[in-house]
Amino acid sequence: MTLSVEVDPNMVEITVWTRGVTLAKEARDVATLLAAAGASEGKYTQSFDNYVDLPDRIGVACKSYARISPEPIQTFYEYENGHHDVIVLAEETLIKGQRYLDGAKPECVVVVNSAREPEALLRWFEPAESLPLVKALACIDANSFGAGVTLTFDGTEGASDDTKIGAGVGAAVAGAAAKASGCVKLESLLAAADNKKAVQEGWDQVRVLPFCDGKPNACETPS
Amino acid sequence: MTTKKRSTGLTAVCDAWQLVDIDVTASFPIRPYTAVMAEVAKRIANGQMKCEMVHAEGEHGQFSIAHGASMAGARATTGSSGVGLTYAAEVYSPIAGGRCPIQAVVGDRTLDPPGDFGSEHTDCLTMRDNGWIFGWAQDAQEALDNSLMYFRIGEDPDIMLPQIVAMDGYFVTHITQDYEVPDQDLVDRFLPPFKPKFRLDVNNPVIMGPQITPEMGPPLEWDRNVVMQRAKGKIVEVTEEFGRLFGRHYAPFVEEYMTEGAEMVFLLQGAHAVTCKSAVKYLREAGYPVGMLRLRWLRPFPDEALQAIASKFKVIGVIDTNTSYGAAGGGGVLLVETRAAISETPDKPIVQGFTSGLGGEVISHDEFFRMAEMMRKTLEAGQLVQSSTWVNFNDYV
Amino acid sequence: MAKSYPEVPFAAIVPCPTVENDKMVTGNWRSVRPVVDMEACTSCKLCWLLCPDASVVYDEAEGISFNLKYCKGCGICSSVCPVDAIRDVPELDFID
Repeated sequence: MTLSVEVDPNMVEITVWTRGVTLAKEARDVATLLAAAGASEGKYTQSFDNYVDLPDRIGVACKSYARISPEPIQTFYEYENGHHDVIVLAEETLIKGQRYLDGAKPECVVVVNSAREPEALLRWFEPAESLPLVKALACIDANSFGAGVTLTFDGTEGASDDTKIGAGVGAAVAGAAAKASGCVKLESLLAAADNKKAVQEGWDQVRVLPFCDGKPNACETPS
Repeated sequence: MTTKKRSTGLTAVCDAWQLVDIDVTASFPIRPYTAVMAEVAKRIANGQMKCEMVHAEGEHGQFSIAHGASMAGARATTGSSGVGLTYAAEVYSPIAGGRCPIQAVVGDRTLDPPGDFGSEHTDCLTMRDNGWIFGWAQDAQEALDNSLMYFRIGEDPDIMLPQIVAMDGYFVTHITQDYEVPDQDLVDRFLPPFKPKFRLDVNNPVIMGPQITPEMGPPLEWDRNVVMQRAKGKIVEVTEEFGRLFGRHYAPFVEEYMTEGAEMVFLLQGAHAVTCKSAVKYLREAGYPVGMLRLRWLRPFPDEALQAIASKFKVIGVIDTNTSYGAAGGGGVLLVETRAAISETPDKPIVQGFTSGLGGEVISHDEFFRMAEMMRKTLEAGQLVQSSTWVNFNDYV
Repeated sequence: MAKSYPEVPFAAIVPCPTVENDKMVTGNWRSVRPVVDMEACTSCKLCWLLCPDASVVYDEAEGISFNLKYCKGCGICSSVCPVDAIRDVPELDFID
């Protein structure tokens, strides 16, 4: 009987989807910021890009990951997030036609960088069978807070990235993701980010649409 | 003062190169090595490093440039991945036989066909017979430390051999990790400046690599054999010195993990050993008498170090993240080398091979658990059940 | 449970697409969609000529249209149009 155990059961997996070349750094920044914030809270963390996505194609959907765990991470070199707790779409159109909910854990939170309301995105939020896993869909218009999208190839090739972490939309998206999911505290994120104002604004201005049983706004409020 | 840093294994090697103040580096892009090229270029541009960076027209040129620079007395470096390494194939023996101690950093990559950036050790291993010394790092810290140790070993006047600092592409080259960059002072004490006895110099002309007659061949090659064996002692000496100076103590050749009371052990090299150690912990808790051996050097292959411990175990499961089509035993390179190293050891264990992690695939905890189950079957049978198992293709559990 | 790998063709040799490559559908790379103003369009076909993905369709009767299955929204067509007949519109503005 081959052994079967659950490894890293308490680890929070954050998967950030983005567009190659034009927005890849922003996704990496979101992952880096959330991991750095988690580390300052005494957690074990990792942040890295997916290697298989071939992100040096402009516009292709690609992913970065952050992991935050109360115990040392055992799946350190198992390089794809298998079970997502937080799914971030750094560009709004990713909600249409990408399989971001594959492998989502129950109670997962989806955060989208969009000026639209979460309700307006519902028509593309799919697949329907996976919606019962969703705890909330949140939107943040990070483009209006970022200092502009930063284009860089560096991190993709594995070299160190000297451009400021979160200088673009990354900071606001990270703030929104933290507020919507509770994966890290605001203070930790503010300490880790360069653009603290954007983090605060992301935290304050994220619009969260709660889900229950796969339906938006269907949660019974306690009387 | 050590600096704590969170970055990738390739950046760690650049940190080492910066500390040892390399003179020349030859570059040519190929993923995952490209990060080194980008990183060194950036450091030269912002004044952190002062070496010459020569951009070659291909990897064959890259290694030749580093060779030439070393012949002129420079501390030269280069690096590559995958088919880049095989493109430079012609030059490896001249560099090693010429006793030019250049350092190449390798982020492993699967050989074509077709195109695959993922890690596999085959690229380096196909070049293993040329006389270079090399081994794999399991994480960014070891990549940095290996770079420092390899300079020290390779440039030692008693050795003078080129080295490859190898690491798994993506796993170690791209996944950011915490590591420490040692103090410049300590590095200066550990590694003296490079002052080779012979170098190309118009004031003292020498000829390097002349034509010879056949009868000069054997003695020259005997010298190369002697130095490769002598390197084993030097490796032990330098690894111990490194531990005393920098506080990180590595087993010179074979890292043992939970081998106390183990009847069966995994034997592997590189990044997957990190996941293996975690899997071994779970397996032990579940009652499997298993441990792990991690090889830190492939050349010179540590015969004596393995022979000294082999008979403690009943089964060794060698994990090859490489291919050697048609090799004896039907597995990869480590299987052949391990079996050969202990073939005459009294009470030697059964050695079976696993091929896993090809193409840059992860070796998951589940796969280690399955390999352990297969090793347990071998243990129970008291003999080989299957010489070589390609995990997920011809598993027998 | 052993992991099962995909079926692979002999020596990784695959048929070459002659009309479209339905193994690499790229419409979902797009974040903006080109829209042509048929009134302004002169059918010069520069957009058709320069589209790197051959995703601009020209028909004598229908004029210029876009192959939305593959269009990546790169913006070359809208930037080369000599009469500014093509606009790039956020993809999510469209209900389909």
